Amino acid sequence: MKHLQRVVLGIILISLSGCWGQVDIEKVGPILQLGVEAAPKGRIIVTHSFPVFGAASKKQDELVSMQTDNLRESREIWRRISPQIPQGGKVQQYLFAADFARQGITPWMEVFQRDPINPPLISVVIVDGSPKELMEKAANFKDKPRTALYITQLLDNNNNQYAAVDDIFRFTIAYFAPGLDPVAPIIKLEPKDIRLTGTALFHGDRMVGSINIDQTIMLLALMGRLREAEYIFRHPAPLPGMGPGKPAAAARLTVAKRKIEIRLIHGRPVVEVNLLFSGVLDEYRWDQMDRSGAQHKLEQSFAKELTGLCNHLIGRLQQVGSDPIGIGDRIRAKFYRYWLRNKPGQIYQATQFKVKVKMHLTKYGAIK
Amino acid sequence: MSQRNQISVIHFGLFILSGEIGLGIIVLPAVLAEKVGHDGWITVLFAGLIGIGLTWTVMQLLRRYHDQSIYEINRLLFGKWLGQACNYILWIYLLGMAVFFLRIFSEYIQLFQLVRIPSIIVTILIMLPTLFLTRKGYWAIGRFSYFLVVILGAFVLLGLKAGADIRLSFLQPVGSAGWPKLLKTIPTIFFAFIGFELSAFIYKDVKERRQATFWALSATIITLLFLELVCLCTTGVFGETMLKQMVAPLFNLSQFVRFPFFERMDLFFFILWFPLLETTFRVYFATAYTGIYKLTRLNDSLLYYALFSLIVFGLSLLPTDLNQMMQLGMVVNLAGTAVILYLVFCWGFSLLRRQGGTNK
Repeated sequence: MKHLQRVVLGIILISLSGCWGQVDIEKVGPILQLGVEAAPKGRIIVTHSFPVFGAASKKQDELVSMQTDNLRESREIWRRISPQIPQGGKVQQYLFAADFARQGITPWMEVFQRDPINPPLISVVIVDGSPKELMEKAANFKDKPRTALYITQLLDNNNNQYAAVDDIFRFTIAYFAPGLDPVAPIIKLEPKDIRLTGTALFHGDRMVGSINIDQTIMLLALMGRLREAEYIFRHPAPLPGMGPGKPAAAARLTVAKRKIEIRLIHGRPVVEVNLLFSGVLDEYRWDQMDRSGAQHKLEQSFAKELTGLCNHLIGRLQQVGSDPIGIGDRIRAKFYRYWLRNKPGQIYQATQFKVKVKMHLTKYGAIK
Repeated sequence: MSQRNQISVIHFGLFILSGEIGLGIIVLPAVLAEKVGHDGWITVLFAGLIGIGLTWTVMQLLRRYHDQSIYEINRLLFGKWLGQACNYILWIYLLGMAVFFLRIFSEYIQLFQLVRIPSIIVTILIMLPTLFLTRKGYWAIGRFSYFLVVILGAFVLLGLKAGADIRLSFLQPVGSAGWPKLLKTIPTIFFAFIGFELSAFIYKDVKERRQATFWALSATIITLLFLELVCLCTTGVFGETMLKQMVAPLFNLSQFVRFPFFERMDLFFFILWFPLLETTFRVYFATAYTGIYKLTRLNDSLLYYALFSLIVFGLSLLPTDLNQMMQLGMVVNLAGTAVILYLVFCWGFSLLRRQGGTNK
């Protein structure tokens, strides 16, 4: 009994240590989303969303937009008009307009790391369009949950499958690391919903381009982050004896093996990328898959399509100068003197890639 | 009081570990990133090996005078007046360390969690358990130090969880800072191992002293392993450039790691830091307080205890901000290193003088 008393006393002592700084939950207005876009004269338009408590209106969230010079100013302005105290401890997403992201966004993230009360695990998201408009219109979607929750679920369900979601911490790590660049998912407002459209590519903290969902799958595979993704093959090999059918096949992909080797040949980095995808055939046509050679032929056609995709993606990354795979970081680690002698951007542009993608269909479902 | 200050040899080990583990785990990775980039773990390894060697040397000194603490050894080695003068300097060092740790930990706790609580209140909060335990004697402090094992265990789990996010390339190429720079940095980060000098002050109060060397060395080795874990994890996760920007990288690591079901797991780790940070302050505070009646003819009394506590409290409020504390940290590093070197000198001097005792 005495031991139990001590344990209970210990728990009480530990949990009450912060009483002085406590804020009544009824008085708090937790910020759920933050949207930032450019305003004239170098200012920013900040949009906050908060859950509504106790109002007569049926609206789930209250939105507040204002032009300011920094984020704290926007919070403090809102404090002067709100019945609640705005707190940033529950922010779910940090939405940046794509146009704004092209100017560099890490200066607008610094506040989240400076103040440890804020969660640095906020997802960084790029909006194709205006975050303010997206938050305002999405608040009126009748068949969707509240916008912050909706986007959280959208990102969680697609993370490391069709989206590369990074929080502020991971984004800034990639920003600061030489030879490594961050990425962020892109979302777009549609008439009745919000759509995940691809991935924003960054050089440093400036958005320099974007890729679509298929390319995102390949990028995640190259980054070693792909969990599983359904890939639609647009040009599957026609198998002998099969008539015309659907134009595409579908397979569930995982990365079975990923090897990125870097050599320095004649003063130029050569990167050999070997990817082995393991897949389950989910949709194609009736019959044939148990015949000898049929599976192999299909695997080859899938591998060819994936190789093309990989080459195209790498070409795109080099073209915009974005290195989310961390090729530069690997070159720095392996050939440090070469790294010191040259500029990181030039090294990346000069790097030659040799891509080999293989595909192995492990299962073809319950029919042949 | 002397009976209450009798501690077992395991408590002795935990006492030293408490003194060593405090400040280093908070600031060391950032300091190292600033000085040697991603090669900090190599410097820690060398500093740790030196620390182990110095711990052994200090213990050799104490074994030569097996019933004495450094206060008596000083008098034996340097005579009554000079020895006593050295004792007072050492006592001022203990007092300074207690004051420094009290203030720096209240600064960190205020920075990371108790943001709205005035600094004075945080300082009092930190002092309260220490005042209670110190009054009860080393015995109570030793018993309470078992909690340190639980906290360190939690941080090892944090390190293992962060392991999945470590980029080995962030730790490469190994040795790129250059060996001269790596070796030159050792003195500036030696503060992370300061704490084992406390053994010289409390040795007389340890029962079963035959195993004391083993436990003192174990404490320094555990400190080395823990610091290596922290350095490797924080550098491997954040990379050297971002690490340089951080004030307390281990705190940031707990914010970085994601746990299932718990959105703000960092807050649980923040709570664990309170007792962790406080243990370092406590051991210096207790050693400084017991030093008063070991050095003077004063008896242990509540009045002296209250006065001493008020002096520590008052002195801790003197620095105005964290930057001043950081500058003071450099002085603390120098002072700690000087005390350790002084103990090594005493050992060498005792060998020359062949006075006072033999190894047992």
